Amino acid sequence: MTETTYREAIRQALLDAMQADPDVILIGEEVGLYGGAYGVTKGLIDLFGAERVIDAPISEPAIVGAAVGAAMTGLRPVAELMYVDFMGLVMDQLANQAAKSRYMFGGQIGVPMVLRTQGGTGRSAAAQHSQSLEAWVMHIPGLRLVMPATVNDAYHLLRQALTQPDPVVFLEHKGLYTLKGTLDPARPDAAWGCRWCVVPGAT
Amino acid sequence: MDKSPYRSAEEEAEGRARDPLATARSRLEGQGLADAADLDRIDADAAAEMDRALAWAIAAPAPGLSTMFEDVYDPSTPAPRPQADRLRAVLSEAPR
Repeated sequence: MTETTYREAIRQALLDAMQADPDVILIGEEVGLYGGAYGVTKGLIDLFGAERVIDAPISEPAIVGAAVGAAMTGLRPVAELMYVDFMGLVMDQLANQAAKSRYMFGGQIGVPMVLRTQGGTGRSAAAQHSQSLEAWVMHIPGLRLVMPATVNDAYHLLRQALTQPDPVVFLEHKGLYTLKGTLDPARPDAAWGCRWCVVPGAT
Repeated sequence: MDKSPYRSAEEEAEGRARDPLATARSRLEGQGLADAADLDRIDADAAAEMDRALAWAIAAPAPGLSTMFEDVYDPSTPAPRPQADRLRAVLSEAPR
């Protein structure tokens, strides 16, 4: 049991996955030298090098397209969209390539990639950096969507996402990065594929 | 064949002169890596393979509606049950 933060739990999941599997690579804007817009990938480039932690130019279609190709040809890429609001830019790569390739090739090929991104409001990030677009993902057959609500799930669900044979969109909430909580290395809070009620809403 | 009404015959001819397939052929022949007979045979094999695939697809029975959920996710992982169940429920209620 470790007291940590949501941000640190995600970083730990990436670090552990990269140590466990040499095929795991990261690609995105500012994921390397800068350490991620929200500091999630801090220091990973020092541990794993620029070949596995790839600072991409500001082109979301290039980032996600490269990840789709890498996943098809044997790597397990973690692509990062700095904000989920940029998903409109990658809808072809995500909906037409990542999500449909297994179906279009009769099950002969999979796209085992994770698209990490973050959404949600509450940080005065303005209209193009504050949206909650999970419903877009839910309506695309072939994708799986993960939204961790706790520190423990931020770790475990990302590790599980990195074992999936199909593309997973891992949607973090920008308001949760500083959330403190307990990481239980033995078990997640939410079972894979199941909702978990943390706080009941108003009825 | 695309009738390309949006471009002139001259522009199209210019493009055909730069056709990468034709360029690759002449380059391979020029470098002595393949002769015309080799390349013709590759073209013929590819065309025959496509013809066989087309004939197979036309002769195959039309896929059943239930197959629309196959190969959407890897079979080792949970299938998208809610959508499939919903479709089955909707179809069972459809007037005959």
